[in-house]
Amino acid sequence: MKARYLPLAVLLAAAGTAQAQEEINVIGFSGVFADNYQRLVIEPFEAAHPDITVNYQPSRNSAETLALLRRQARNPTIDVALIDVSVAITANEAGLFAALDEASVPNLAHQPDWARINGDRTIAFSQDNLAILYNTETVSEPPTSWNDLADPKYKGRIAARLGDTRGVILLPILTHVAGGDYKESIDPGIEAMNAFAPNVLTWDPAPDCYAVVQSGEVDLSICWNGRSQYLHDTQDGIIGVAAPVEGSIGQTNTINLIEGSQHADAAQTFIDYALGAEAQTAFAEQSFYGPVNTQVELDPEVAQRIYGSPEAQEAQMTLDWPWVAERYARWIQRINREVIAVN
Amino acid sequence: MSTPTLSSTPPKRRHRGLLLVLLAPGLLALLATFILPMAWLFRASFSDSVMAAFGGGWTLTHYLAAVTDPFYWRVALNTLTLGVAVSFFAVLLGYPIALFLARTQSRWRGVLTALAVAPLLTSAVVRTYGWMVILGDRGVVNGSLQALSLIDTPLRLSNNSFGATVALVEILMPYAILAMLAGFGRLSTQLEEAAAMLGANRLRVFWRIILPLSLPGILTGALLVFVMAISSFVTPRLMGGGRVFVLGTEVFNEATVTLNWPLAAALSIVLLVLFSSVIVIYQRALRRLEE
Repeated sequence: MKARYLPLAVLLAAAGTAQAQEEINVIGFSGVFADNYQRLVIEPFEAAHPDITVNYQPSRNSAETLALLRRQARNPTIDVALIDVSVAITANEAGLFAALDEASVPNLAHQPDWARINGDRTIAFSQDNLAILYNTETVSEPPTSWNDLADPKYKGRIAARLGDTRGVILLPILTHVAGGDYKESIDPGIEAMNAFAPNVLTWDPAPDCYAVVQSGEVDLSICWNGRSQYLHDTQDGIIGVAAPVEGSIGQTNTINLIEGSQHADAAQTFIDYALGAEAQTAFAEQSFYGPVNTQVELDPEVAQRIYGSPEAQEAQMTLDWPWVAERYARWIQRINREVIAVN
Repeated sequence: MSTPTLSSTPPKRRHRGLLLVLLAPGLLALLATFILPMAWLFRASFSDSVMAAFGGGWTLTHYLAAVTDPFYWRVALNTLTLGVAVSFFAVLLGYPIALFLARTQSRWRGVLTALAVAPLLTSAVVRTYGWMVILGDRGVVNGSLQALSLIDTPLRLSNNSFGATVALVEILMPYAILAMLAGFGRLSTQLEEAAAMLGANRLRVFWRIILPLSLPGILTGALLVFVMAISSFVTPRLMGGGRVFVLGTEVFNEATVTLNWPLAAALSIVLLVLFSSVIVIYQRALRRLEE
């Protein structure tokens, strides 16, 4: 019976799309992020803008996204890219992203200065804090400070992948904890890493920094907060998250309009929505990624799960990303050579 | 007098044409999957723009960086050591098996050979994870030793180069066995019998007859394993706990973490040149030995 109406429905649907329907392609992070982003940002946006369809294409990592964007530089099919801030800054050196303006993206006015990067070509939209994960079954007294990593009781019980953005973020944190300033010297950070290095079982946990805690292979792991909170909720609470009192720094996710996009207007409408307080609040509450928009008011309980105790929230830090991006490779090299290779 | 020379040319030419036609699919596939990417890699290694891996001006910076940095020399040495250790042990452990398979008269020989190479049916990644379970701090080995009260704290068997070596030896051993089997062509039981009749004991037969005759097979097997070990990436990465710095993992890091594609390309080319030379020298030596 129903099948009889199918051709009619198809016809109507076709007529609907013919009516100035615009499609934009967004490439971004995969996994839980993609599910949350689809549900909490894209779907509400499409409901509010029935004339725009958003196709989300998950990419395995930002390096792969960058490779794809480079290949299509002359004739982009992607309109918006969500990528790590350091990769975005590299992409800007190649002129892959277009500058946004407040006329088309009014929510730009609500972003803090540090989030408006490279002349508004790259805008930070969320931050995923670096945190210490612990196995709730083997660790009775969760760590409270970054210095706890050096406690001898964790000998051979820590997983720490530091040869990437995790290390680049941990260096300024540890430098700050040691009383230094990352812009002057990261030596205190390197020293602090060497202090807990004897406790590290693996510098390259496989399959990832979460699974090794879940399985009990290690007690502690240095990982991202958002996914840890998600795993805490979905995997019987075996993974616990300790947000050190000295505060943390987030891995910063950015949204970028592709230079030469065929749908720049629709894309900017989307970017404006994604940067807006409504989308940022919804995303923060469900994914535990810190919002960037200054108008977002977080529920204290949510803030606790994103940043830790009020003390830790107070101590939350941000980085001068363009400054750090220039030193990104050098810092990773130092971590590899001065910490990992000698331990 | 000139007729035979004339008539002998056309078939030869036809033969060559046929050869080209037969080779064409393979050559085309090689061109698309090997030669073109290699050319791309070569070009990228000279690119003066970190981002524009393909294009931009020409520079030698990346080669200078790769060659003048003592860290990369250490990495190259690590790679070489890993390759030598893995091929030595893979051949040492594979040799008795290969020898047995080559000499046995059993009607199960085919089945046994298949069994020896059966591990190849499972991917290297899966087998590496197997070794992580066996050699881990709470793995089978440490678990048994602790249960027997032989040790208090777990031995560090994985997350270091020991673990990477053990796993690579097991993973690459079937190749060594296959290569040795193929290279054992000159072994013959008649020679052994002759030696025994002339009064040589079994050890002497082995040293004077079997080992020299099987040497080409051993060396071929070692070379094959060496090449695969130095270019390995997954196993050192998974078993090394981040501590095993080999050229494969370094190229991966430069390409995907620090996004310095030209440097990654330059390192790949250096790796290629360095180890092609090793292999050429090795094969020269091998040929001399066979003569």
